Order: sequence, then structure tokens, then C-alpha cells
Amino acid sequence: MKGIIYGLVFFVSLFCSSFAVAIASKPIVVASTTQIADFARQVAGDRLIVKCVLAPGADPHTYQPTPDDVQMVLESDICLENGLHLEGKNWMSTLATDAGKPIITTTDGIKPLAISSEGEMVADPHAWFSPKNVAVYVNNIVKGFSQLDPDGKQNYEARATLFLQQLRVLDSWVRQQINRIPTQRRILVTTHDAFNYFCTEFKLNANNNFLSIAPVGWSTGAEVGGGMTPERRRKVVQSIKESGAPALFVETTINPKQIREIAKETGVKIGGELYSDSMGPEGSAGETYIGMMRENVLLMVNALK
Amino acid sequence: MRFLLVVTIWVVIVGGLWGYIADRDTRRQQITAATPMDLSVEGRFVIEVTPTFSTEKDPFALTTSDSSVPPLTVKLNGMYIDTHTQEVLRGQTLRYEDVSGVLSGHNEIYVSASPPLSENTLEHGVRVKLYEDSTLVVDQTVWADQGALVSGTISFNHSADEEGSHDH
Repeated sequence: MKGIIYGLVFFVSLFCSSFAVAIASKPIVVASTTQIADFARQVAGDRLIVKCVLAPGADPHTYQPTPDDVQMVLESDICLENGLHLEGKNWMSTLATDAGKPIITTTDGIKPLAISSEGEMVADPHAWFSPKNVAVYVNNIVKGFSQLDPDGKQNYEARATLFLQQLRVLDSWVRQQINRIPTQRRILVTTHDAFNYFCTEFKLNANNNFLSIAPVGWSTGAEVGGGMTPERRRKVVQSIKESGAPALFVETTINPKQIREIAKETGVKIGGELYSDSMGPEGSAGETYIGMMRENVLLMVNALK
Repeated sequence: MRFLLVVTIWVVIVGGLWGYIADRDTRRQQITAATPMDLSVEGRFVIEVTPTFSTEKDPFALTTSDSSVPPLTVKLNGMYIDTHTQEVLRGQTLRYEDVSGVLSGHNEIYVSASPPLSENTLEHGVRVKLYEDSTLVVDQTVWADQGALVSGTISFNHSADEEGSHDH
């Protein structure tokens, strides 16, 4: 009897260990931002394990990698970054290079918009706000995954084809929704200028060459709402009043307290919190890229129409 | 002795499972490897395709393959009739003569075309006609709206005996 029990235990443990080996043997992908992780999951399905360095709500511009991030990248097989210096001080490529891991820059092939930053022209990294650009991200991810795992190429391409069609419908839906806003009211003022690609693609802020409008004197980066002097605050208030915007939008990655006070001072209503550099937490409407875009657009339309 | 008993039971269970799986897979392969009957139908078939829009390059296409993505694709029973790489104008009819591959029984014509994103408020369609010896046997339109790709399958039955008994 004992022998049979030992045999059964041996048999079950053999199966469990082979199952654990199957999971452990899946290649691991580490993405820098929540958006890129979502694109990667849409392509990878269950064939790869996709992990993300940034938690929902974290700001990629100011993020400081932790020892856990270093360990995560060390255990990975491939890394994905946005590029165009979205990851402040290129922290993702530094992590990957230090760990000796291949890295895919998912914005490769995108024609970046040039924006002025501290007196010099730089490439705007927030390219995912145009679904057409996301098609480029997805194609780069498919190429990277197909090189990593050639046997999975057909499945990666099939999943990507479905996601690309969803992006096409999303693009069209956004145009229809924005069309509900009278043209003279299509003024998008946000707490940092992350929406250039969105404004260019969907024709908002005509008076600003279809580029994002952030109040003068307000920016993301080191201060993230802090370091506001009375002079800068005066400029911000004046800038909002001059923009003629029906509403002012805050962003989920930026502390909204100060901008709410400023909005009160200017008499402009707060349109709501937009997802910008990060998607929403698990279970929220903005936990996927399509959900994030959908919720942003609905907030804009409701506040501006 | 007990150890040998355990090993024997283990070998019987695992061996039996392995044998069952191997046998099942072999049977499946035999089924899929069975040579299909040649059901091709004799006759002169012509397909006409007419989009209600001017096609344009799809900015949301998968670009990982070597060849560029055509703005219009037509397939008959899974075989390419055309991957039209040039832009097709609104109302322009593409005519494919002497099409082979129509089968006796169930058939499918697949069509996919990329309409302009700027016309996303319009419904777009691609009209597909199939002629057999100058007789119209299929005339259907695949529709799409909200900027989606016009993509669909038109099914029809062809009976070699009964001329004109087609499902539309």
C-alpha cells in the first residue's frame, strides 16, 4: 500500500514539476510603460510572459529604477522601450544594456513631432496618442517577438492583425466623437504637453498649429506641480484665460491639487482626469490602450461640446 | 520488491498514456493528410469587383512580411485571385477573366479593401459579381462602416448538374 502511495506521489509531482517547467520556460518580456506592455500582451497572448517596469499612474519622465527592476530585466529575454527620451535619462535602455538584454525601441519608424523644450527643439515622445503611430509600435513588437521566438511568428502576426483592425476602428471612432465638438470649442488644455500627436491627428487647438496647449509656466518633469512661484502661477492663470478653453484637463500621472486651485482662480471648469503617460490600474476603464483612449475622448467631448 | 512494483505501475500508467496520445495524434494526421477529392468545376468563370470608394494604403496594416500590403485583395476558396497593389478608384470595376478554382458544392469569395480613413462617416462596400459562361450567378456587396476595413466572405453553392441553382 505504501508503495502505491509513494508511486502516486511520484507520479503527481512529476506532472506538477513538468507544468512548472513549462511556465518557467516561457520567454519573459519587460516593457518600460503600461501602454507598451498592453501592446505587447495583445501580440504575445499567452505565449510570452509580459511584465512592466512602471506601475499604473507612474511617470516615465521622472522614474528612478529600483533594484527589483534590475532583477526583472536580468530575468528577461527581451526588453521594450518607447524611446524618444520618454524614459527620463533613458533608464530602460540603460537597464537592458547593463543586463546584456536585447531591447526594441518601439517608436522606430515613427516620424516624431518636434516640440520646444527649454529653448531647444526635441522629438515629442508621446507618440501613442495617434493610433496610426501605435500601428508602428505593434509592427516593431511583432518583428521583435518573431526574432525571439520564430515558431510563434504566425500567431504573433494573427493577433497583431486583429489588434491593428481594432486600432483602425478606434481611430475612426475618435474622429466621429471629436466631430461632436464645435470647431471653435476644440481647445485642449492639459497640465503637460503630452497631447501633441492627439491634437495633430484629430485637429484640436487650431490656434496653436494643432499642438497641445499646457499653461505657460507649468510643466511636468522635476517639479510635477511643485516649485510653483507666484510669478509662474500668475503666468499660468493668464495663459489659461487667454487660451479661451471651455475646460481644463488634469492628468492621472500629475498631482492635480494645484491645477484645481488654479482652475478655480481662472473660472475655467475642470474637464476631468485624462490618462496620459500611464494607463489606468487593473480593473479600471483605462487599463487597456483602447479603454484609455475611449475614456479620454469621452471626457473631452463631454467637457468641450 | 516494493520499489519494482512502484516502477512497474508507473511505467504502465505513463506508457499507456503515451501510447494513447501517440495513437490519437497518428489518427488525426491520417485524417488531415487524406487527399481531397478534386471537385473543380469546368466552365468559364469571370469575377467582377467594384468598390464604392477609392482604395488607399492601410496605415494600420501589418508590415512585417516582405511584400507590401495591397489595398485590395480577392480570394476564391482561399486562393488569391488578385492582390491589387495599385489604387482602385471609386466605381472602377476590376474584371478577372477565366478564373479557376470554383468547386462543386460550397464556395467562398473573400474580399478585403482599405477605404480612406477620411471617409469614416460613410458606409463603404465592395460589390462582387461572379459570371459562369456570361450568366450572373453571384451578385453581392460586402459592407463596412465607421472606417473599418471592408472585409467579408461571400458564400455560394455550385451544383454541376443544376445550372443556376445558386445560393445568393
